Amino acid sequence: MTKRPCWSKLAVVLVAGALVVSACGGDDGDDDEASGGGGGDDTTAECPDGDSVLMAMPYEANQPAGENWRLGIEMAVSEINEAGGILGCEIELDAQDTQTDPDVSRQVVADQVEDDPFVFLGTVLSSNTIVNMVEAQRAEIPMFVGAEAPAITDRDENGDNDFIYRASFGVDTASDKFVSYIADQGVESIDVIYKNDEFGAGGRDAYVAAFDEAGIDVGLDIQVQPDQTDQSAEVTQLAGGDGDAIFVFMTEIETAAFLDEYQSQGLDKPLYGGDVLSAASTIALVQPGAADGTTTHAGLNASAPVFAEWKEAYAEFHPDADPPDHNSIKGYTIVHVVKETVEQIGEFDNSKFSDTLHCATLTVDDEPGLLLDVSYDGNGDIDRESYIVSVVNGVGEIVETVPPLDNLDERGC
Amino acid sequence: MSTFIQISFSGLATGAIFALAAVGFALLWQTAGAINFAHGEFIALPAVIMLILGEMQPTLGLPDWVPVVGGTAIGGPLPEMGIIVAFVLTIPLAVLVLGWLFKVSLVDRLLTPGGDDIPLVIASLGLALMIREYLRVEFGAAPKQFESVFGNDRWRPGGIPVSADDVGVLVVCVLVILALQLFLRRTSTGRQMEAAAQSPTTARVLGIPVGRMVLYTFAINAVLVTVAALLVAPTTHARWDAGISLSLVAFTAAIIGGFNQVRGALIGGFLVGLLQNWSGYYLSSAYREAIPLLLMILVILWRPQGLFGIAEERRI
Repeated sequence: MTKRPCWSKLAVVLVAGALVVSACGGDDGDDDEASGGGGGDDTTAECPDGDSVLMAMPYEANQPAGENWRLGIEMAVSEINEAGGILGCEIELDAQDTQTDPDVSRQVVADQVEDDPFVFLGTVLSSNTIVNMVEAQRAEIPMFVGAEAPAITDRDENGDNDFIYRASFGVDTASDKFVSYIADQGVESIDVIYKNDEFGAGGRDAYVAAFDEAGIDVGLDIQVQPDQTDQSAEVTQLAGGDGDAIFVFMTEIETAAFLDEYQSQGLDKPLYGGDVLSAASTIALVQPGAADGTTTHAGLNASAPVFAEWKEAYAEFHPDADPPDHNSIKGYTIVHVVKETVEQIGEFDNSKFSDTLHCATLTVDDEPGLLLDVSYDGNGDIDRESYIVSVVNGVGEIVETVPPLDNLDERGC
Repeated sequence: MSTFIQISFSGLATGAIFALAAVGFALLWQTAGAINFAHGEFIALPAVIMLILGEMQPTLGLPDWVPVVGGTAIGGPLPEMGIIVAFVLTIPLAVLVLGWLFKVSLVDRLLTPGGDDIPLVIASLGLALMIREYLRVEFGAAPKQFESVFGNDRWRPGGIPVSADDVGVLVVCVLVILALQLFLRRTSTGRQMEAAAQSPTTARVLGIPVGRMVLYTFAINAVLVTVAALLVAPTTHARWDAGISLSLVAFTAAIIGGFNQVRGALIGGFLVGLLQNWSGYYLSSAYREAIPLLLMILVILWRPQGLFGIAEERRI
């Protein structure tokens, strides 16, 4: 017995299939119409998610650094969306708290990968980033991080990651710029105190290597533990050190505790350090006068005149927030880096994004929201103008502007 | 030698705060059999409340045109209250919330006579988490500066740097603990509280209102944590997660000294402060938290009642 085809059923299937195809095609047509013709246009493009582009923001909501990062990003996203978005696509932000737990942060990023965001904006802390960046790399999604540990952009350590970009200097870049200044101050030997975590130990390693290269002897090499607020024993050790100066590399809580104890013991050696040492967020925590005289290299410092207008806009946008710090500026500028890069490409294309941004220089003339001209090397590290900041009467003052290194050809380009 | 004295003095000042916290732990255990793992958060919360109250500018509700009196326009906002006034206002709040409310809402419900104390332990861990997240969401993740009530003066007697804050903290802690000891030993209410702690059943037979005595203990603990907050916040800053390490260190101090003796918890607090500083200076700060924990393990192994505690037998 032969089986005869049921033509009426077949016809129904064909009609249904045609309707589905036409419906999908109709959507494409609508998008094309809305985007004014698709990629390559100066003002509009085919948006990755309907009429918007999804950006994932894993961040440390329970840390001041993470909160300031979020506030900066939200301000930039709001401004860009009000001005018509990126190539006509509104930015949709998916903010997720990592709870400052590396394992949780990795899971958060892995979950966000499922939604196929165009980029990741975060995380900020090195201990989280070092763990979660693997997920973004695996999904081949560009990830912009506020973290500064050298290993993050070291291709020998990050599995030749083409998708990682910094929002600020890595410690190794900062140390190149800062140590020559310290040497110029006549410092021949220095004692080091650092926080024993990914951020602090990474910073300590980079600076000790730079001191060695500059001929500055490192004497005492002391660690403090995360959240250690009683540092009397460590400061007493430093009081007995032979260094001409002391180098401090810790985050806000530990730095503030150190400065209070340093003042309490009446020590007066020059203090140099990572940008946290003289940051507004640190000065706000210490007893009056405790941060005075500290000097740091600041990749981004809100007291620089170039940020004055932006600071006013920030205060208007976030009237209840604390004054912005370097993490707020990092967050704000990084969204504009994404915008400028996409606009240069003319479409939302991940692979072209990486090719375009590596070894590129983005200028304020093209994208004012960058606030400063910025270059990206072949590893995702940045180069731009930076500042030597010293605290006077509780206020960070810029004592010197450090020009960009301008050595992209030596940095993978 | 001067370095040793300096390190030890600083360790005693820090240890005094640990002692205050540990004494609160011990008090609750003695009288109510309650272990409160939210103890650190009970210290962090009043610090934030004091900061908020201290920055408030109250008004008398008078119109702006009311004339200036003593240099202050009393029709407008008055000067900030300041930390001391905020501290005084926080004490009744703490007694109400961290004392009475904690007792009636959690302890009384979860801790039944002869029952298991694990539910309360778990509930207090949950409470700690809840307070931390509440502080973070309501007051933000950024730590806030909390000025020392003793000022920033420094002296160098015999070449040893000493700060007004260290001296003030040490003196206040010692005075508070002495006052507590005197209250417990020399007053009728204090002795009734101790009797209720040692044997609730016998105390009831003797006509002691055990329930009220236990409530007094929770109230005293609330005052102690508020004092501890005032003293420790200039060092830890007012922040949402300050209680995590405080809980751990107070618990460690109480175990080392003796959970069932106020005197033991007191000495445990000082000992932990000293050990942290000595190990930080003479070994490495990598060991400053490990050494007290190591001592705690040794104490649990060889003298479970604590160095100054009293062995208790429990019939099962």
